[in-house]
Amino acid sequence: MGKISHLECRECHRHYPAEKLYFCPECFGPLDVKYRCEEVDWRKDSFQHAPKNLWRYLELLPIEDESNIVNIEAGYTPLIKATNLGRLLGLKNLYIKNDTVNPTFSFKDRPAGVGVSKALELGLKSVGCASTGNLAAATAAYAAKAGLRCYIFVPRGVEPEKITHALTYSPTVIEVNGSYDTANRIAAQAAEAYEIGVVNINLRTYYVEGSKTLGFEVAEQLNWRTPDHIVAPVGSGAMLHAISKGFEELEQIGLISSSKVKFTAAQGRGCAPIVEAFRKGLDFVEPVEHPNTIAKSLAIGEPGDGVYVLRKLRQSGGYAEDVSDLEIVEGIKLLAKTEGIFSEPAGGVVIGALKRLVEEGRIESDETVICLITGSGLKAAEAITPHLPQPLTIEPELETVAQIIAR
Amino acid sequence: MPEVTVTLPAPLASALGGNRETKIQASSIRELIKALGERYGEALTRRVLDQEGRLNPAINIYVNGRNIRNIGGLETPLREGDRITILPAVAGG
Repeated sequence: MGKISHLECRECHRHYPAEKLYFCPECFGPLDVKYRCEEVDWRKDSFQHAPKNLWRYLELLPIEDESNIVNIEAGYTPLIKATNLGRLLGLKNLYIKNDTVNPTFSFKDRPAGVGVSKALELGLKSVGCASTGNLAAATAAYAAKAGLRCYIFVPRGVEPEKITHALTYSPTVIEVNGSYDTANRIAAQAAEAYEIGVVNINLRTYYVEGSKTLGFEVAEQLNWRTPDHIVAPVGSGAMLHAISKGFEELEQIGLISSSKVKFTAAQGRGCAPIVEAFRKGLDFVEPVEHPNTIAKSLAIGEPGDGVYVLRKLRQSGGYAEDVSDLEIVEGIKLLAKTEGIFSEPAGGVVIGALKRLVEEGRIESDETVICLITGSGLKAAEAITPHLPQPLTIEPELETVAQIIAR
Repeated sequence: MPEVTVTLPAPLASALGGNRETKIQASSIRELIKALGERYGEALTRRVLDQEGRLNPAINIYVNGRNIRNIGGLETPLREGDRITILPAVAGG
């Protein structure tokens, strides 16, 4: 008997065996992995000798046979107390979860690791993904490590650094002439037509489980308690939903006393379908056909988990904020100059949203607030470069340096 | 009436005991769903439409690659040779 009890439809709650199934054939709802939590004997001191990567939480990850684990040492990233930024904003307990330091420099190493490992477990020979850029490199890196063929579907206009990064791992990169949602549709059709484990489509049920390790780590790093408020960048919404599921599992096994956390969803203004739906009081998400934001990693016009994010925001008493391109740039710069962390635009979205929450009086000064910084700035330098000063070019003369220092 | 090609997601086609790809005559998406219902039974219709006759939010329907939510919704007109793809709304990481 494995650790997975069953897959459960998030809508109609029908149960299915843990197979390669990514939606409920009865109602099309997404499926969640349900574990035999009563058999998980986690205590606060259970992790002293656990590996310092996401696999430290293996008992609540959907890989049954350890030999199928593909490990590139992702996860267990720092939770940093942001004292400088916190002082500036009047927040005493502000933390940055710095997932830019993952092996491919984004949080996608978490779900991609679980997705590719599950592909091995299911006996698949090929994997792939539809990606706005970050998942491309993550999936390709894991595929390389696992020795699997890899097909990456990206939309036109992804930052060149992300394409170069992904290509280096030798996958087949297919640039689809259209938006992310178009690339995603083609990838979904390819997943159906061929035996490809497209991690965020037909392996999605398992893949998203990797993202919940962000929540596990935050809780562990806060000595097994949940924060008051999490500000999360939101594209599809899968990460936010997975983190919340992780907290619920920790509560279920008794490791934390409450899974209640307020969530704020942060999106770029040119592609903010979830923020729009939240403001309008809708219980569905109207798609954005032509996203236009420098936060390209969040530019998903048809967010798969949009309705579930809306529910989480409302249940948790949270908020939704959209941030302009200029605010994103300011957010990137502010995080860099106060905390020494170089984020891609998604992190600028988070910091911009945090500033807005503070200005609107929606965060108490002593609340424990976590900002999820999910990708490195080196992946999207084009967004910030035009907004930075030029370096000072000089002749190699100390006098000139003296003049500069004296300014 | 125009004839169009419809592709269903594999788990749905197997649940309904039918082929993934089928040709069908319909002049709008609403008519197409009705015609699919006549072919595959009520089990298909209740999966695609909710009780008020609205499109299930967990489903995307594409006409030649465009999401019907961005064009005419269920009233989107169909033309001879259109390719219709029905997919679960699974997008993004």
